[in-house]
Amino acid sequence: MPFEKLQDLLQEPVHGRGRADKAPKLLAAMAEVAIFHYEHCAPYRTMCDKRGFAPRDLASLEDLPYLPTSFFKHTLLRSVPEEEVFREITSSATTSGQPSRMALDRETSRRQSKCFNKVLIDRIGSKRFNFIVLDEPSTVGRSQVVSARASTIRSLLFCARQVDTCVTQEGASLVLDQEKLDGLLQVAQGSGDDLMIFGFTFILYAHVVEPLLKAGKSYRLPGAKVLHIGGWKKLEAQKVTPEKLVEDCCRVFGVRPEDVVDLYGFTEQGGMLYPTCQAGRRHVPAWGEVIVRDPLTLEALPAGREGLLEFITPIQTSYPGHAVLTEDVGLLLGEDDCPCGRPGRTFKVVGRAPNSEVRGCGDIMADKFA
Amino acid sequence: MTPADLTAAIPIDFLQGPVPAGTTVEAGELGRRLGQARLDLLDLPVERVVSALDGFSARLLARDNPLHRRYPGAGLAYVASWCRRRSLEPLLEESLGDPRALDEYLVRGARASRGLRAWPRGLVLHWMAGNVPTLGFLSLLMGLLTKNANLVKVASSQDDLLARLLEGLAETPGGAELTAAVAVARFSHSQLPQARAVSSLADVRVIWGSDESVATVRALPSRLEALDLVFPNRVSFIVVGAGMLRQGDLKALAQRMAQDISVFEQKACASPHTVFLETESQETLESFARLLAEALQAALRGLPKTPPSQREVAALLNLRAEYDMFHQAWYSRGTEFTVLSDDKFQLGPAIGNRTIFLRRVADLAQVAQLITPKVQSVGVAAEGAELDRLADLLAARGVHRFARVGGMTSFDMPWDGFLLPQNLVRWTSRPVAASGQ
Repeated sequence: MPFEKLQDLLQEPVHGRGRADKAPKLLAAMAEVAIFHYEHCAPYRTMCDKRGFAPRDLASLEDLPYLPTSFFKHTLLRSVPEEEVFREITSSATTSGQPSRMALDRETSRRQSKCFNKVLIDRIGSKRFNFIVLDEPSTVGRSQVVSARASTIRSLLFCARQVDTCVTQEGASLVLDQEKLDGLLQVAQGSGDDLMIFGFTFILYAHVVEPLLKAGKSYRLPGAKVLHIGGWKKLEAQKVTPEKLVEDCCRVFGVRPEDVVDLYGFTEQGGMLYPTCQAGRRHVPAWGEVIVRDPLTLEALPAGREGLLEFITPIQTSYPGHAVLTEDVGLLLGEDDCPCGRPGRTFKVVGRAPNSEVRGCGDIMADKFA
Repeated sequence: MTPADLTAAIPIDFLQGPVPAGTTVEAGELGRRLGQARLDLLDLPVERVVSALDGFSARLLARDNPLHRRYPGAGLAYVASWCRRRSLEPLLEESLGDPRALDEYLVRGARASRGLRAWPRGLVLHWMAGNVPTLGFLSLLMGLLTKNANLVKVASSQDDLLARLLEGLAETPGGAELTAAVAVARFSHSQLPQARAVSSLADVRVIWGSDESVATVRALPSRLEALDLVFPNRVSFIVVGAGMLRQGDLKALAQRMAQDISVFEQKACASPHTVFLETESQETLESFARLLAEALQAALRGLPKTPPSQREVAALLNLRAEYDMFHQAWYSRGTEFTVLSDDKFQLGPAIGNRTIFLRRVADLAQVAQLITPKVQSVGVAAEGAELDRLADLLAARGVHRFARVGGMTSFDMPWDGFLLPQNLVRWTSRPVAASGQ
């Protein structure tokens, strides 16, 4: 059976059973996948050979050669025959103008969706929600061409019972339909449990939460969830911290702090999602690991030290995206010790360099908002 | 163009002497004070200027000077070496002929009936880039030597080294007369009223920085007769001749090369980003790449690496992966240095952070095809006829400077084609008596 170790790993509970149980299983699956990429992707093999890395001898996840996310902007790597690639995924356009490109076969695509859904369900529950999407209708409708932004939104809608949008496109700008949003929130006040408000972080805060606060308007939606994703770059410039965002969401929507969920993920490792837990930390699922690297020495750092975030997962088998170093800075918070009860490593994303490019749908969308 | 508002408050680090933190001065007042100081400087013989700077050099080199502890690795010894009499006098002679022309009319050449004198142009505005911290002082030095008043504009993120150096100069015998004609302003690129105001005060604008920032400063209001000396982005590279590769001490060459690559984290315009080896042998290239990697490793002891930003790390790792997959790469365990080799025939790109492209050429003369006005320095590891031929060929196409490998980033005159003191004076002539009196 192909990827036997990987299949076993995906049978685990979403966050595994603690370090002692997880480490050998993940290492075995990573070795299996690294060997596969080594044997099926010639450039990857050349790189491993030059670095003296033999996947069969993998002894530690830290030894895996990793690729920076920016590598995928100029090189399309494949570990499957071209005819098996059924979709090329591109990331959101960035200020460098070059999106990342990843070759997906059906198996990888299916696996990514499955993993994504499992993590999300683990966090928000398995029931279906009435979604209020802070975006325009085309992002949730059917279309041939799917933008990265729309793709992010649609991936969440597997748990939607009903979807409403409350943003309109006016020329090149996006405009919030405040009246419609107010109407939807008023109606939901009676059935808060079923409501999911979703938006890109900047839009949620700067165009919904903050104006409502300023207008002295608030709702009572206990049990409703607020889900957001995307860049913090623009909010950081306004000195809005994650804590303040949660606090203000609670004031405006009347939700519980643990029901404001900040999602983190990146296209180069599709299917991997890192929502904040009830304790505000981010967890790595059983089929992944996070390593924080020192930007100068590139050595793995212990908990509490800031560095560049590297993510490892065996779920991408159509291209060697199994070990990826991001430009995001973060730190490990602990392992098997989160107050929320989930086992595994927890981490925090601190941010990006002041001179790093605007990246991700949220930051791009923020530029379009009128 | 709308005239600048001279009531703009200019944040000041130093004005004719130390100032309290947070000091601001109206631009008009700043111009008046420096204008008066400039007239006072006229009476100061150039010998006194040189003498004060030479005294400052000794003071700066003193082991107990607290600046060494406060600004480790800032290149203070280098600044001191520039301030020494034995550096300044030859520089003035090269630029002006006889330095006494700054004090009096001198008869030069065959025209015995006319005397020539060099006058300061007035107020020199030094608009500094942030990449090489000591450059501000060296630029200022050229203005002081020619008895100009000087206003140095530093970036808001720049450390306060320049003001501290000027305090030291003011405490040196004769130094206060010089610093009376100096101010250091600090503001960010977004402070447009301040930028417009100081620009409009200048008789000469010496502009250092990226192409974008140089263009921005040039677009600021200026006096009709003001002179602009611009030092925008430049690229530099190294050539190694076939003779050197056959018979030279390649280990020593690699060590000198590592020095050029490591200084200022390759952010200076004279920092090399490419090395052309005159060979057709890949083996020769690879063997030299290994020597260079060892030398870069060793250079870390004397020039510790400044931690790169996340984005810089990504750029480095990106290249390493690409070159490991498709070309050749030699690099440190961390992000300290990276040597790359490919079959491309081009300069750079300039990545920085001690990243160097090693490329083969059959004949160094081919490199002439790559010269653009953007090329500044060429480090040359070749001798005799090989050097003569190459230097003429490349200079004719626009290279501004040839340096020995190992000394590429040393500030030198001429720089970018300018003998700066020459450009900071205006010449007058007058009839003199037949005796030359």
